Amino acid sequence: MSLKDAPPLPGVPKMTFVSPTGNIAHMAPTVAAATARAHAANAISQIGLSGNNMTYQGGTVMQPYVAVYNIYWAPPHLQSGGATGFDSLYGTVTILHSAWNPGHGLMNIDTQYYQTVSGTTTYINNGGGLGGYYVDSALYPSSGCTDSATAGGCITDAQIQAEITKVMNANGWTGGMNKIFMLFTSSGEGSCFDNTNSSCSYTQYCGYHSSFTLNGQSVLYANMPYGNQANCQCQGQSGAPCNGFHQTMPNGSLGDLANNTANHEINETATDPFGTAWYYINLSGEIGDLCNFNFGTNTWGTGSGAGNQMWNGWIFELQTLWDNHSTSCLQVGPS
Amino acid sequence: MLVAWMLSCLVTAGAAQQSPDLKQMVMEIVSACALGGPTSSFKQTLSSNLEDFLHQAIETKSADPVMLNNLLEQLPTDTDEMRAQLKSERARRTFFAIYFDCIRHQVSLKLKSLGIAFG
Repeated sequence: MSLKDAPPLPGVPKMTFVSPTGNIAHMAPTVAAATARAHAANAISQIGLSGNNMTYQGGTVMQPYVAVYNIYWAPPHLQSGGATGFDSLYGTVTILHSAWNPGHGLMNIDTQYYQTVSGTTTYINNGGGLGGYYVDSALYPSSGCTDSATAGGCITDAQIQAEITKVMNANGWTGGMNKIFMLFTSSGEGSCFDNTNSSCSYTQYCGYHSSFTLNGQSVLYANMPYGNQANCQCQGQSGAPCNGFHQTMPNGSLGDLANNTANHEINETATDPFGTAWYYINLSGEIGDLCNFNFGTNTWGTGSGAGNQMWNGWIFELQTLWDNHSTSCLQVGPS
Repeated sequence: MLVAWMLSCLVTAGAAQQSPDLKQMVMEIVSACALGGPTSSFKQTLSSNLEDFLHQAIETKSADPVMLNNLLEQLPTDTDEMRAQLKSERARRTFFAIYFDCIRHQVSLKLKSLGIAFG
């Protein structure tokens, strides 16, 4: 059983796609898509189909640790010639998040999940850090898609894979089950899974994780569109998933919003890199999906600088993750 | 006489062709690691020092990692502004360790492309 075979939720945009090479891409939804998902999940639970917990489907997880590689695509302008870039703290807040997500309490939730390969069960380690980063100032390729949310340009999943491959080759980086490559694109650049424009940034997703094969090794990666307040931030909307919550940007950067998506993708990749390990079968969701835009309580800082995680003096606002033991979304785990 | 002059021209042209554009190389190294924020203030100093380092490496056909580390450690990474931006000592140390790792990696790639051993 694979996540791609899980039944879609009625009325919810499709969140799992299959590439031409057969690899799955699993989306972190926008607030609107997460709202549709929450409504569908509620309807399903009311007819008694909800079982909640992640179940193991027999596939592999990330092992033996999680090294995160950040790639920033920072061309001088968009395909349209329009302005693009990253805000002044974007690089700093996203680098520190990628360096620290492995090893902190939030990723500790992953340690209850495991793989059983050839009869040997191995649990996920809450370890790792930043493996490296690279800033590519090359121009974006000609738009391969049309993203209704971004007039300036749009890249497809195939173009994203080509960019990651180029950067890996330039830096001598290799794939493997202990690495995830995060491709951060600059402001105004959109993306769609393919040239049919069926699933695009800011309308369906705020990011996604997927994989491909390079030189015989798996390359785990995430597409990380630029942080977006209109579509990827809870701004007090009533009802699930926001429930009136105002999601902060505690460091004053749109990178704070990208970090929330990055946290979702890193931990879903750790627990379900190929859509064959840990997910909730009835709602076709992974460890982050059951807790989309669920932040718990902001216990650190005040006002717009508040957040729900404090790592080494930095406050982050990061969605919770699903804990099978307590059958709930937690900030720190396992319970 | 004419043959000697032509040979001299050929040698000069060959040498000019082989001489790498140091400013371009340094620009590519710094650009590949450009995170903005706290690193912006010493970009000029870093670029100038890297150019000297690469120039010497090309002249001597060898490069010393310790010398590069010394060059990086001399950069002002502990100003009031940086401490304020990076909020904690742990974060400041982590951030600059990551940044300098990137610079070292890019320098090593450039030296490798020139056939110069490094470390």
